[in-house]
Amino acid sequence: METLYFLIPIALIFCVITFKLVLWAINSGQYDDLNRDAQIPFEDDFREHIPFEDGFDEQTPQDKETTL
Amino acid sequence: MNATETNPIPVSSATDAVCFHCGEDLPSKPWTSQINGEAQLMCCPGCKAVADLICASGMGDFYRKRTHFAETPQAANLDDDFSSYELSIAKRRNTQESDDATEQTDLLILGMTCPACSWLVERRVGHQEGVLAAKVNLNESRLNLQLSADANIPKIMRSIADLGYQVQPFQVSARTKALAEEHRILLKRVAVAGLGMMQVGMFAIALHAGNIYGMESQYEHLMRWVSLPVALFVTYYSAAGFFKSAWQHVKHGALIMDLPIALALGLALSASVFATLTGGGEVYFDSVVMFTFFLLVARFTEQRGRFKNSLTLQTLQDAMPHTATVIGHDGITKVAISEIPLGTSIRLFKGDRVPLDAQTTSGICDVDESAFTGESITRSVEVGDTVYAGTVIAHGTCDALVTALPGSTRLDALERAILYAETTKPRIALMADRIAGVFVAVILTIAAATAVYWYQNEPAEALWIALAVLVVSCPCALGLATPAALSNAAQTLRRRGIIARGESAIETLAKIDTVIFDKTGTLTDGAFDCVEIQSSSRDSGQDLYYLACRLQEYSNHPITSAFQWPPGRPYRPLVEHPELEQALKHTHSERPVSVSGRGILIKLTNSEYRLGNRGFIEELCGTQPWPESQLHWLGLANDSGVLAFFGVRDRARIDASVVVDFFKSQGMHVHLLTGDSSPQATLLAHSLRIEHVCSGATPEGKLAYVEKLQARGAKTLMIGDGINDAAVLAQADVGIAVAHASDMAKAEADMVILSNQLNALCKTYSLATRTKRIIIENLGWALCYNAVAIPFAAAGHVPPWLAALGMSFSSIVVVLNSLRINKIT
Repeated sequence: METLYFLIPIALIFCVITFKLVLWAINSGQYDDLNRDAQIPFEDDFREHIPFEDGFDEQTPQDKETTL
Repeated sequence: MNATETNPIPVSSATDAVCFHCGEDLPSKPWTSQINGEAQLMCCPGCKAVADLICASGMGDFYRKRTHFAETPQAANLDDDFSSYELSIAKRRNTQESDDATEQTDLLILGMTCPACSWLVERRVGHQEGVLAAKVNLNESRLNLQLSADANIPKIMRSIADLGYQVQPFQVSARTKALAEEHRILLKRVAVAGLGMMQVGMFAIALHAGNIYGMESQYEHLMRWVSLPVALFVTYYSAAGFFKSAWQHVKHGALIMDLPIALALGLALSASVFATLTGGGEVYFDSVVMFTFFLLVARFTEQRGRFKNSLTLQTLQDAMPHTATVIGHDGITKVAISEIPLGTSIRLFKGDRVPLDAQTTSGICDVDESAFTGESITRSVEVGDTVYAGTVIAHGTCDALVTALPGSTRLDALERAILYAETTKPRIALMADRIAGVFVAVILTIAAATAVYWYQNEPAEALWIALAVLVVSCPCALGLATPAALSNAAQTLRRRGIIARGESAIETLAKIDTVIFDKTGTLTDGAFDCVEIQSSSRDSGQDLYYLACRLQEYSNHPITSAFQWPPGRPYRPLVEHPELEQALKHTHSERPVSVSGRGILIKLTNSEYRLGNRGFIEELCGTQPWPESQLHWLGLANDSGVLAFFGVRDRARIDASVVVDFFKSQGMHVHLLTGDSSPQATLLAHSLRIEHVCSGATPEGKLAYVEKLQARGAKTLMIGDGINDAAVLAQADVGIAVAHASDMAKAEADMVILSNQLNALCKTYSLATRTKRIIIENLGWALCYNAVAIPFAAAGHVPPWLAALGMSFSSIVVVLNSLRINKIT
């Protein structure tokens, strides 16, 4: 059980890192719009939101547009 | 509000008797559009145009994704070409720091009701030439565009307007920034409290298990010591707001809900720290952190609802033009309003909003002052008359000399009246705060008495038992009772197209006993009805009405809405007036022309026809005996004499009488308060069975009227739309602005009804009374719970884990009960 003296402080260090990460994410504006961003994963064409297109899918968004 | 809600919108069913696009009631002959392979009914050509466009561009998916109806497209918005914005945006572009390749610009888009709208806008704009990236921020109704140098901004704005949204450049105000910052701060507090709750909760489970199964004291100390820094940090970071606001109010002698919250948090935390340091007693770290988290989540939800409304309305206020057309020695130039000196000659065109008070020097025009005075018929302005800033030139063009600068116009005087009204508005004390005061006093007394009693009998236990009283007394349930109910009510309202600014209005609405309606734009929609025809010739009234309908087709004067030949009824030749029939039939010949502020005339080779007011008709055929009654009378004449008189009156909205009857059935006094001085007001009041009428009131007069009612103890609800109603909307206990209200009225109202349906008022009122009932239930539950739990705690029978459990349980009951507001319809 002595290992708790070692493991719990490690857990606390991770805790501190998580706090820092979350605060950084909020400060950088990633959570400014909770309504819109929550929808993106559910969109059929959500590939468009992903910056790299090459190799992700044979169809580029433009191709898809013409097939609609 | 979010994706998990059930979809209230039909995806493909054509059975609902509402417009598939915007959800408004359908007219008797609706339009249809093919959407996703099925024919759907549309309420107006505007909705049809937008729906067809959406489907034609392959975005029919919009109707599957959406969770709310779209807004009805505004006709005025549909034919603007936005070319005037190129300049203002280009100017701003230059001032922005950006590299040459890409440029950023922000647009404000109004009317986006759900995430599917933002999807639609992004898709549509994203395929425009020159657009590199388009991203909507739904919270702020803002579209952020990254453009290449060749982007055509007016065309982009046009493409958004085609979808039925209103679009204008986004102006970043200090307030906008402050609100966005507030959102981030609160979100950070919630996040920190949530993470802290998980961490401390983990240690707390070990401690509770240790209480039951036994635990070596060294590990118990370890758990306490690791919980301590986390709980301290969460309290410092997340709960500081409660302490601050409690302290600020105590300084002013007010006991608010934040006080017991702060006390419970503070005492539980210090007692736990004390217990950790000394190694005795109990620790409540988990309760402290959990309590903080729950309260913050409730406040965050509530703030999120307010955030969007205030942003949209704030940006809307800026509707006044920034420039005026100045006539100088070297031609016509556009000059910024702030740089125009007194006495400058400016030119006003049809459709312009007058930028400054000015005296006309040449030209004749009609001014639409309905937003200003409530007068439904445009005022015709002759040389030497004054036009006021904020009114709109409905017809004609004129030159005028500036007589008042920004800050001293009639509009500014109105704004000052609004400011006055805001500061004198009576605040009805909110139920929760009143109860909180008493509750806090009672709890503190009980806790003190408990501490004193146990100190005399068992000094070691005194602190812990007194603390258990404070924790179990659960200010949480009381603290959540009102905000949880109100924020749910606000969300429900918003789903029905009603925006509430600050939930206190919902609570106040339930206490209303006097309802005051504005006339033009509120009870009427600005259109007219022809209710009486006096024929002075051989022709029947029907034939003469038909003649008037044919004549007015070429005029856009609002009064012509009284002469609409019913659609579907066939046109027939005017046998009695062959020359006129010839002229109307052949597009090349003479057209009827409308004469500013007077009427319509057509000059033919052998005769002349006129439809208009008394002066206009008498000019053609001499002094006439004019009908005397409360109606507004128009004459129809040709050179052989007067053919007919038409008695015209304001047309009440279809649902106006339903709404008036509803409020009367609730036992309220209904008043009509209008700036219109014609007998029309009395007529309308009569037909709607409204007893109290005050007509011809200036904006200041309206303010005084409501103040007088309030002085007599009435709790007033004002419903209006114009700039002239803005002050009185702010003054009334609750002000509601109806659809198409002027921006200033929207900004001053406590609630804004977005749909064009007046009967939304009935729903709003019912919801408010239901919310009030739920709040009472919540408070009742919290008090009952306390009445049972406190005696046990004071007797020393409540262990800490049970106190924490009881606290959470009573809060959950309150939150669940509040959710019922959404369910009952």
